[in-house]
Amino acid sequence: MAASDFKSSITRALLFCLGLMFSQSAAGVSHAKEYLLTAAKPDRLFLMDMSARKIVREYKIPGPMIAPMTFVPSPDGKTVYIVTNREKSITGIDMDSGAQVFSADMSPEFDIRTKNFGLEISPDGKELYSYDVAARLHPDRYEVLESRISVFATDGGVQAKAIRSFAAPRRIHLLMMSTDGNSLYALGKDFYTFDPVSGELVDTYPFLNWKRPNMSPPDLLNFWPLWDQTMIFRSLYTVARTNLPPTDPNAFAVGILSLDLKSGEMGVEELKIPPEVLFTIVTSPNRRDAFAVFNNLVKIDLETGEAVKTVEVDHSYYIAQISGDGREVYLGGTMCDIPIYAADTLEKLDQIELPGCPDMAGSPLKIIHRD
Amino acid sequence: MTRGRQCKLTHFLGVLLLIIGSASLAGCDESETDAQSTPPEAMSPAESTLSSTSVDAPETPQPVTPTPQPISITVEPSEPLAASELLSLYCGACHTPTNNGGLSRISNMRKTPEGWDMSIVRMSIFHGVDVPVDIRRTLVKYLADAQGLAPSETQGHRAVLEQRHNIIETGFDEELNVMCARCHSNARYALQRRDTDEWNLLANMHAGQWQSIEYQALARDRNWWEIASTIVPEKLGSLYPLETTAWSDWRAMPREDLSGTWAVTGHWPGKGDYAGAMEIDADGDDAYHATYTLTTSSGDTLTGTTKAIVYTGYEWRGRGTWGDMPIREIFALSEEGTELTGRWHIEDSFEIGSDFSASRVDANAPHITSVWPAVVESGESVDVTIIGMNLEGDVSLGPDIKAQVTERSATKIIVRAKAKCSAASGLRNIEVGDASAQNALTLYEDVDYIQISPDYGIARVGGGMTPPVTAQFEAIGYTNGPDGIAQTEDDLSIGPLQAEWRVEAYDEVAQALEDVKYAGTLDDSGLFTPGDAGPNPERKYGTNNVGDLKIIASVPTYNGKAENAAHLIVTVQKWNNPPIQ
Repeated sequence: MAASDFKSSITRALLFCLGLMFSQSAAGVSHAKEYLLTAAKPDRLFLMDMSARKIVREYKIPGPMIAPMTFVPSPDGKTVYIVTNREKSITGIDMDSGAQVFSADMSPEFDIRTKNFGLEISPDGKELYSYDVAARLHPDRYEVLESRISVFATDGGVQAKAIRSFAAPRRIHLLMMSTDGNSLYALGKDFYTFDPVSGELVDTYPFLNWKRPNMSPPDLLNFWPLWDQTMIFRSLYTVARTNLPPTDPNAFAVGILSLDLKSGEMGVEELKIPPEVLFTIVTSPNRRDAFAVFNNLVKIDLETGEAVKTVEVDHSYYIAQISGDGREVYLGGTMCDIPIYAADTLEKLDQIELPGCPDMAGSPLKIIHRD
Repeated sequence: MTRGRQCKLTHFLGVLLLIIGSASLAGCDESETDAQSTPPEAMSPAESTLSSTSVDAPETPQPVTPTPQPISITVEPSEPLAASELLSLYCGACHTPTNNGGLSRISNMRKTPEGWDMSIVRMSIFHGVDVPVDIRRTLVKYLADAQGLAPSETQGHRAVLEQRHNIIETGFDEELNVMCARCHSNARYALQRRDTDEWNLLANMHAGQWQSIEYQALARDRNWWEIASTIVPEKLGSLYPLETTAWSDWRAMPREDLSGTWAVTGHWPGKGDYAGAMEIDADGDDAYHATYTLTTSSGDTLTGTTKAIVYTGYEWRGRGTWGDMPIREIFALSEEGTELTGRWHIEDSFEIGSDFSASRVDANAPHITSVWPAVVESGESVDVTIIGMNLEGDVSLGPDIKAQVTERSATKIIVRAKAKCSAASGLRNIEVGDASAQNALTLYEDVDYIQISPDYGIARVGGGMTPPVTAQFEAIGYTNGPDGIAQTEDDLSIGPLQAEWRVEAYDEVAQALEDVKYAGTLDDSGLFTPGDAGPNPERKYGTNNVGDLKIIASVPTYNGKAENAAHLIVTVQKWNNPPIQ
């Protein structure tokens, strides 16, 4: 082994260990066992022990017209808050008893029609943030209302009302909280930073409004909160080089938008990978690798921006998630199977199938830690 | 003709069946998001002359979203209520009276009969209004008559009303093309009339009812709501305002009585031509029934009956049976009241149907309705069938074509036609006694090239409650015309030809995914039938039996063969098929 290779290996090992420590520190439950959580239609929540390759508990989500979408676990792993009722309600389930401990209707007013398009929880687990798109239904017409972020106290019970709300730009699709709880980030047309207490829009990072010569605005749509292991949010975007004909192989590029939820550092960078449709990307705890998926599972070297390895997957998957030790990558979304891949070789190791083959649809794969 | 082919007394190029006819429009309107919706409460087939109606739901299945107080009205009046009273009764709970005696929203728009029907269905599905089928029918008739579109206002958009399958719309405002036609046809908005404020309320309805609309592709690349609520209503209000001279003029015109004898011609892609007579009788209140006596180019007799309602003075919507086929008719009466044109399709297979044209004729006068085949090859003999009425007297097929009558009646004559070897290519008139048909016969020397119609088709896999959507292709022959150059204005169409058909992968991706193997089959008539719906575990990614294919036709010529290819997309099911896409 050459000296430089050795140095590189040491560096990567250190990065890996630091990443692991950071990950567990961020989760704040360093001694708890790691589980994978997902939801599926029509009304199911599944808790999985991935090391044992089995589903350890199945929950029935209460309420009408469930169709679970996104969800967030509480930091202590005891409660999960799920967007249900076709994005018109939030339901909280106690992970020990399975009982409903929280419920909020997005439209408590009879003439307002509101849907949730983003959910986040504060690091102390006391507040939920819901991005709401609303319209008033007059007797003979709709009136589009200002979109907003509603804040709920997690101890609000089963008829929780928003304790405050504040206006937010249209078309936000993902909320995320800084690890210190002082900033609420909202990804939409641009990347916004709110003061979660005052509701003040304190910063806007241009994205749709990102002007670059001969480059289109990036196209990005991401509903999936996948930063559990690193507290680094990453999302892929696609951009067109407008000075090249669409038939040119270099006319389109895939890039990564990043936000470190601890430091607040944000960045964008185009990758050196062939443009293809990839839905989500998850960062390894080693912070050097990332894994993106749709019809292919692609391992990306974040330092070089190159694809290290690409393998075809069995069918389209929306989500890639990763184990706390960085050794296994889990895929989910769309159908009812969760395959497990080796992070180093991208070899398929195993898979878990949800009983009855329910459709995970747009539900995320979330990591939680429980005793 | 420039190749200087030598005329041969006999030559056989396989079976070369020449059929005249227009080609269906080509294209694909795949801009629309595939969507699911709760099945609509379609009008009872026995009572409706409109197509069964659904409304679009451009996102995941939506529950019926009732208003806070779902409306269900039960009325047993001592006397039948007038349509205007029914409108107030069923709609007035939410739509308030206006200063000019109308109802809010409703009075501020004009639509086609299909457009009004879709509005009522949407009120039922999304707002819980329970409108009985007979009331719905009455309301649609009343609204389409009082607040419809003039004939000229539907021109350019009738293909969508006619449920034509492969259409590429062109010539529309680019902003509207993206903002509206990424989900709908452009005809969807162009077949409505509203002022700017009312168009803006339509934008509010879209964002209020389908709140994910801003997140979709071709929406998230712009400030969608800001554009939808400002620029778009202004453009629509300018292009398609509520009040127009065309409409006020049309409303003032007396309505035609369609009763009488009509001469019918049509071409059914993949099947052939038909022609004959249509007898229309009035049943009152713009209702009619029609009896068809037709002859097909395969020599069969085809009879049928239809019941129809004429909306807005010209929109014929019929429902009946041709042979053993249940069909729907979407025709339009010309402003002069002399032509009835459009398309009919099989009841549950909108893509299977035919162009239709009928002319009002004097039942006692001689008339040539149609001719098939309408082409004669120089130096060759062919039996030409002439369909008409009161056909008496000598038959002439024009210069250089010898005509020998082998069979005749007052409505059908079969002529053995033989063209001279030296005959020049071109159009010929046909005469039967006092009846004549200008440029009804094309004399040609050889097929110079073919085009496939449609050149860009779409088919959809089928299964469950949704049958497959087939795609019919035809190989249309052409001569190069006097200038000897293909694809120029003087080229002569020699109609659909019998061809050898085959399928190939459209590109490398289709090749790798074995689309040819899985996507469906193409028969000898150019009819593509797609495969079954649903994930196919045999396929890579377990994908549906979708495909990206080349449809290739080959026709023999004197010098070898003429060949061409069309593009076929075989895609997934579409659960929403409203009368106006």
